[in-house]
Amino acid sequence: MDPDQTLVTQAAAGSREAFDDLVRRYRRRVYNLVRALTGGDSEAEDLVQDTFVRAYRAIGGFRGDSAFRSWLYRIAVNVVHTHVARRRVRDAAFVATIRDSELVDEVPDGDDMEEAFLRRQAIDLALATLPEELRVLIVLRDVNGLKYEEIVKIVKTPRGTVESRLFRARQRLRPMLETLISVKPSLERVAKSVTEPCEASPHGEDS
Amino acid sequence: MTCDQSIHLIASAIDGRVAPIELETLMAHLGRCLTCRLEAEGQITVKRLLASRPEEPLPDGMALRLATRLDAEGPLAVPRGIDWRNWTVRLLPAAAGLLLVAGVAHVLLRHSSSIDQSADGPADLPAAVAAWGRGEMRALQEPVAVNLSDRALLWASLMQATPKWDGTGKDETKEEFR
Repeated sequence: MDPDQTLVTQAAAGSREAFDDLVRRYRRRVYNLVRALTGGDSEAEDLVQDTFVRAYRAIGGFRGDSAFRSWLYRIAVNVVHTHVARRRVRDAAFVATIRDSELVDEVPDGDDMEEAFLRRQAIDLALATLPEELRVLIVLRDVNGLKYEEIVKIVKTPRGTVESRLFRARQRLRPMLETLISVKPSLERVAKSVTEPCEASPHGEDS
Repeated sequence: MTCDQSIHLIASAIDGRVAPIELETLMAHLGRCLTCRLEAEGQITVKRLLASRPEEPLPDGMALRLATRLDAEGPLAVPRGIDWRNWTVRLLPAAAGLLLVAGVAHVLLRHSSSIDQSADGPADLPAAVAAWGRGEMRALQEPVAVNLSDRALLWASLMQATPKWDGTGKDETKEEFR
């Protein structure tokens, strides 16, 4: 059962207090979702407000076909999509700047606020380089930890497509996040330990 | 297992959505294939890294600004008892069907009325047309019994009035009326 069901029912019946409770429950999550989706766009707050205003206007007609969170995230994804479409040209220039940026290589180790800020910024900037159809999926799945069933409902894309796009998104992100990958040494160890590498015939068949 | 098959399975295995037997086959392949093993490790580490993205606090005053903006929207819209727009769309086919039945019933009633009147001596078509020509509009509003010869005459006159297509696209009738 949807954990928000009671509040959603009350809000749909006109309770502003119930809607405010839903806002309190989700505003930070939606803000982080939008920030990740937009690569840390400074207009994220406006987009979050647009998301909740749309939800406010439509909650009366929410039929509960999906969980409230899926419904709200879908609104947020649509708001971001519209925003990105409007600013596509500026976005392209923005992404080009990120690709040339040294920021990702400057993330220090540590556990303080600054490290958290830089780590988040590095991730957001790397995410911003992805095409929108990959970025939305990877943010929903890997950053927000949504289940496949929920993602399929939000993006209205077949599960197989979601899977293959996620795979490609991770492939593309890896070189950009290389310095954040702390397990890199273990990968080297793995490389040394493998006795039968198959780079010579990458599509060969095992027995 | 080929590398292509392995890559496909890695995508599912990362989220723990492969059968144990498939996982066993995949692990056997990864044990032999460096390329696929590095691919799998890369996928897992990126996934873990993204999951560790530190959550960002809300900007100062954002909660208040959001509440103010919602206030400006006015009270929450309570759903109406009946969604008339929705129901109008749903009832459209039924309404069209009813209209059709009513139309057919009307024609049938008129027809039976015409037959009844013809027994009492209905007005004939030429006489009705002549009355129309004299401006007696009501003449044609009365049921008119059309016999076979009248229909033949009507059909012939219609055929004469219909422009014949000669392949040029020219409308002969319009030419005549100039």
